[in-house]
Amino acid sequence: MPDIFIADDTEDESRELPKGAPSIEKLEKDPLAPPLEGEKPGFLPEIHHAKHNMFPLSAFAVDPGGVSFATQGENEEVHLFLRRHFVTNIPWIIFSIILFVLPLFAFPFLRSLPFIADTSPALAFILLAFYYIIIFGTVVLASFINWYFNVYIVTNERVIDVDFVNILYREVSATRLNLIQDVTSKTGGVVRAIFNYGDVFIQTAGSEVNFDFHAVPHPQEVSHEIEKLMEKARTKEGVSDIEEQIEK
Amino acid sequence: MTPDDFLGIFQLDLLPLIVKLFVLLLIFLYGIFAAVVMRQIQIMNRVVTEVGFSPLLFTVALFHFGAVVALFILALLLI
Repeated sequence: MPDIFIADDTEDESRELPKGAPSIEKLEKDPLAPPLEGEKPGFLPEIHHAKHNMFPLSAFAVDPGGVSFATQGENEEVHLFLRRHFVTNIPWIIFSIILFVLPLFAFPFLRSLPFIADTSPALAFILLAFYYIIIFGTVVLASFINWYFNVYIVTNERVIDVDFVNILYREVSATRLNLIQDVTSKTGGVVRAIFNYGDVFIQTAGSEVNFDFHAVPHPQEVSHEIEKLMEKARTKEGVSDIEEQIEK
Repeated sequence: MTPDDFLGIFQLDLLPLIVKLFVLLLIFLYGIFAAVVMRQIQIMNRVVTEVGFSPLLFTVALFHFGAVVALFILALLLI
């Protein structure tokens, strides 16, 4: 009786790869390498694309190029760059649109008031321009930089949380990967389920601060990536310990 | 100063001056805020640098501060 569960090796060799696909030798050698010139990207998951300048305002980037931070070490590489999902900006965008169109509806009413009707055109122009500058500065710009500078960075050595609480207060905290004890991801709610974003909680050892990555895209993938980097960091630490013992 | 004297201020030519000073003070205070925003963006761009977008954001903050300064000068001249 022929064994139908054993694949015929000779048939595989004759099978042709699709045009533009990376060669098997290349994939075996380095499956995470970027596609060569002429090769079609997309045979590997998007998450494993190697360093290239990330899309501006990206909320989720793996191995991004063109990103650096102040305390970055010489051999330290950014593996994950995260922000809150862009969807979290929608409330302030809608609010600012309402505030921008509000004078169009409010002006006819205001002009009917006696003390406003006597206002000089110059004063009215200055006040209107000031109103728009205030809305732009305190709502649009302040909310945007609050989102833009609230970043979570995972390198091959550390996890860094840059909290930009408001214009006057910011906080930067970091911990080493080998001090992380537990990584948990959490998603819940309709909007979070539709747009696939949630929270990632990182528990650290001892008196180190815990990290909460709020509303980041693909929380499961984020926690998985951090776990992989933790494994690597621990293996590296183990190897260096053995090397130290051998030297002694 | 009696209440009548106080109300009298608003019927005199002082009213436009008071309004002007008040508007200039508001714009000046907002100018401080705009300068703080600009400085904060400059500092934060050093903490986290995203090549391509970080300079653009600082430019936007600079224009915002410039607009406030221009408005202050306009208010000084026009009102």
